[in-house]
Amino acid sequence: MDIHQLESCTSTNDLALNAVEGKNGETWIAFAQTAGRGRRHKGVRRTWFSPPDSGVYFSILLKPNCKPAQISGLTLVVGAALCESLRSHEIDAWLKWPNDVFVGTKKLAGVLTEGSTSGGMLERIVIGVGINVNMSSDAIPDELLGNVTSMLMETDVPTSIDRLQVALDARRTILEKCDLFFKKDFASLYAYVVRYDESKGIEVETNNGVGRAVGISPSGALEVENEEGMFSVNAGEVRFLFRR
Amino acid sequence: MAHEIKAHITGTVWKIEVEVGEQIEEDDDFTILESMKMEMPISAEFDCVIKEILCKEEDKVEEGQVLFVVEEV
Repeated sequence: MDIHQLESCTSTNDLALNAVEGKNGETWIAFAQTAGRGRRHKGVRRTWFSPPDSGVYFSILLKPNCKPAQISGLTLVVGAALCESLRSHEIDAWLKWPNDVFVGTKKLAGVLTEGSTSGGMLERIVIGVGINVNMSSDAIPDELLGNVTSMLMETDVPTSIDRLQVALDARRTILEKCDLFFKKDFASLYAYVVRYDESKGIEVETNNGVGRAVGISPSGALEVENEEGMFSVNAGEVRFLFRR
Repeated sequence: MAHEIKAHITGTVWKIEVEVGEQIEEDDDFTILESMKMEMPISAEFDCVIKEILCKEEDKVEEGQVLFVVEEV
């Protein structure tokens, strides 16, 4: 499989989405992005904060030959795989539904999955990952202080962490779990995903109302309960208020 | 001949990329749906004119729900 390393690029997801001859598993790894992006919310594409020399950003191209509805839950599997990999680096990572990796109440990494279709079938899926590896607390803008962290900030290592190795380790785990996902389904990986879910009891704000997270359901939804009962969230913005 | 364009996943309409009366080409996007932080465009499989838009941004939609009606050109 091809792995491309770049010091800098606009966005690794763009490279993967536009790789016409791209192969399944082909990966683009960059150490800086000039136009990295997060998820869209209310018409605005969030940017991914990517200070130089601190993070690693990579995108994996998949060509699963299936229908779009068959990949429901894939982002959760990727997030869980990312948590597994980060825990092997002694980081106490957990999966904040559906696509963020947190340590405690702070964001460490994120996943953005984008697909394209042709003739009703998925032509490609691009899994984009951004990890804050060596960011120090003094590099964080005031508006993000208290909300983000890095592997360096969470460990006691005296030197910079090898960003390429972090990406390669994460890529390996993600590809292993994606392979299982496409051979079977989300249900077969549900127990694996919930191993990394620590949302229970956290107050959340959703488009359906405010409540306390119960956990991830077998269908991959976030289940929330409040005085009016239980409801499930499959899409849209969910804000974790981190009040138990 | 009129064709119905349906949601291929259950999710939320993030952005509608077309207007009624607009003519689009094969592979142009009608809309981008989002589900569990996966973004999935619905693309045209042939050149067509948008006749009706049956959804709006931030709508929750089910797989198979008709979102657009188009006429092939």
